[in-house]
Amino acid sequence: MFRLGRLIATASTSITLPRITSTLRLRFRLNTINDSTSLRCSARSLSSNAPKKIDSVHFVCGDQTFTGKAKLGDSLLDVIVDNDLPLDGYGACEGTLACCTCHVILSKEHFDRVDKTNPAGEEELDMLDLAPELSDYSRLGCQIRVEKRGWWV
Amino acid sequence: MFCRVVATSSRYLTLSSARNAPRVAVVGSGPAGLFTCATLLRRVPSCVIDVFDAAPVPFGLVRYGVAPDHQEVKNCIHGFEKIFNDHPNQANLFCNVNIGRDVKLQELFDNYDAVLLAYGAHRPRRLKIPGYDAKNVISGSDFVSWYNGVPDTQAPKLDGKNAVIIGNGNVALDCARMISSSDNLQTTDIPKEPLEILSKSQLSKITIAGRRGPQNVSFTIKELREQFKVSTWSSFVSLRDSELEDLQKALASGDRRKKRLFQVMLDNLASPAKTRQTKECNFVFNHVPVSVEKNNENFVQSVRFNDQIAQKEVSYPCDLLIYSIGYENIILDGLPVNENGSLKLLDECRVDVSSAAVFACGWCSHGPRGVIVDTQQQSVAVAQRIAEILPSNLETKPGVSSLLESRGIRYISWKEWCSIDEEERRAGHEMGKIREKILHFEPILSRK
Repeated sequence: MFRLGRLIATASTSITLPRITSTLRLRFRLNTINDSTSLRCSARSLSSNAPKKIDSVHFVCGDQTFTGKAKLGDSLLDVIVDNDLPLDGYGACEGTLACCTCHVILSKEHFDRVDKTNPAGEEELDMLDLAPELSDYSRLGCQIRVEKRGWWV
Repeated sequence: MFCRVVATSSRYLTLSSARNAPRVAVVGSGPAGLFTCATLLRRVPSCVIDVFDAAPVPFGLVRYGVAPDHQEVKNCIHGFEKIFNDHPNQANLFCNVNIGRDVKLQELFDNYDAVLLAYGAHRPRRLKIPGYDAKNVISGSDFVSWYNGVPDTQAPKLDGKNAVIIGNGNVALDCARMISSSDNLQTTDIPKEPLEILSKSQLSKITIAGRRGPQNVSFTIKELREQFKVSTWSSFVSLRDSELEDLQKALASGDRRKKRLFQVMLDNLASPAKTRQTKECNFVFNHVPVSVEKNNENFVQSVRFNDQIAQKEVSYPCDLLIYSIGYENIILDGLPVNENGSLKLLDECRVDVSSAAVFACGWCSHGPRGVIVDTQQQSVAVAQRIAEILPSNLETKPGVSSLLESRGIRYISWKEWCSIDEEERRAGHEMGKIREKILHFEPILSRK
């Protein structure tokens, strides 16, 4: 039962763009087992002056924040696994569309943007139907990638 | 069989006893137990965990429940392996140890700072209608165990033409898919004995019968869709007018999940286009099983149903009857039971035992429902609860390894499982498949 909240976007490759960090919030409810998890993403950018190819991604889970580095093309699942973030069991099927443990909820803004270029296919939708706290803006983290312009795709 | 628990190697235990670390016993090495271990080791980096399983090998239903054509689901094993490989002095596996018989629960309570029950749940609810003791009448759970290579399971006969499957959950779908698509299993981890029987199956008609209406099914959409995609069989849904109406009504008012699920059923209604293959898998509803008719050799011959729509009894020819109509709880001796016959919990996971910190996770805590994501999420929450109560800087509890030694309990450790795993993979590789499961562990258990 965690809720992944707020994924936020990122721009990192372009020299002209300031670095923006992606923030993924996991709201973790520890005392209510029947509550389920979702990832809610909404944009909140932090900028700094130094553009970098690798962005920090913050995963906020309730009052906890986990930070990982992301490369372009990484999926959210990659970011969590590569950084060994303490979300055990996230991505149990390793991105093969056979479970929904990497469920994330995007903000409408991000969902709509991703949906244009990379809409969820039937297999992903079938898996999402098993996700606790399914929302209209739900996706699987294994299918959402850090895009060239620094957005999650 | 899933309630059996495992024991471990004393060598590890001795090592870990050297520190002042909290010690946790986990009963069951399936997803509920091991997801919890993973999170617990994060939260309490010093803790020592002894995982017990009654089966000779770990991973519970991931090995013995997940269908062989769903290998991707089994990828979660990689995470489980990490627990033991990354914490060789802290995470200990004791397979082939039956908690209750080999080690008493009270002994776990006495020798650990916390005990997590994650032994799964259940034995299948028996179909108790006249004639249910006919030969070739088998529970879905036993059928699943058989094709997944659980030791000591009995093979069904697939040499007749007609199979009837009673039940409208995923076990029913898994059974139907194994019967109808054995061609796809050659490279999976299905053992060669069941594969041979499935590939020689003469079954050409499967009837999946639900007691209630089409709007009450417990299928998940991926599994339902898979049956309709089996290209060598015609699979279709047979609805009478009133059933169709019920389903359409339910679709209109249902949430997104229900809508998508019901739409798959509506897209696959019986029609000439859907019945082109000679082999057929037919879904029927509102059929309440009444009796099993046997032939003079005591084999099932037909199944009678009360058709709730036509309001009459109907008979289906049947050479293999599989029923999957729910489960009964198994409560280990010494655990509190509530008025429903389930494990008595104080909240979502704390078991009502005053003398010890006992928690439950997974199907043994709430019954056999939910998929891996549900178990994974519950595990994270339960691990946090356990972490909160674990004492710090106390004297380290001894665990039960010396008990196991003194009783001569032959357990299988993580290290030994690794060599079994390697052997299975090697044997599988030679046969062009992922692994060839070992079905008989006596030779291994008699070594040492």
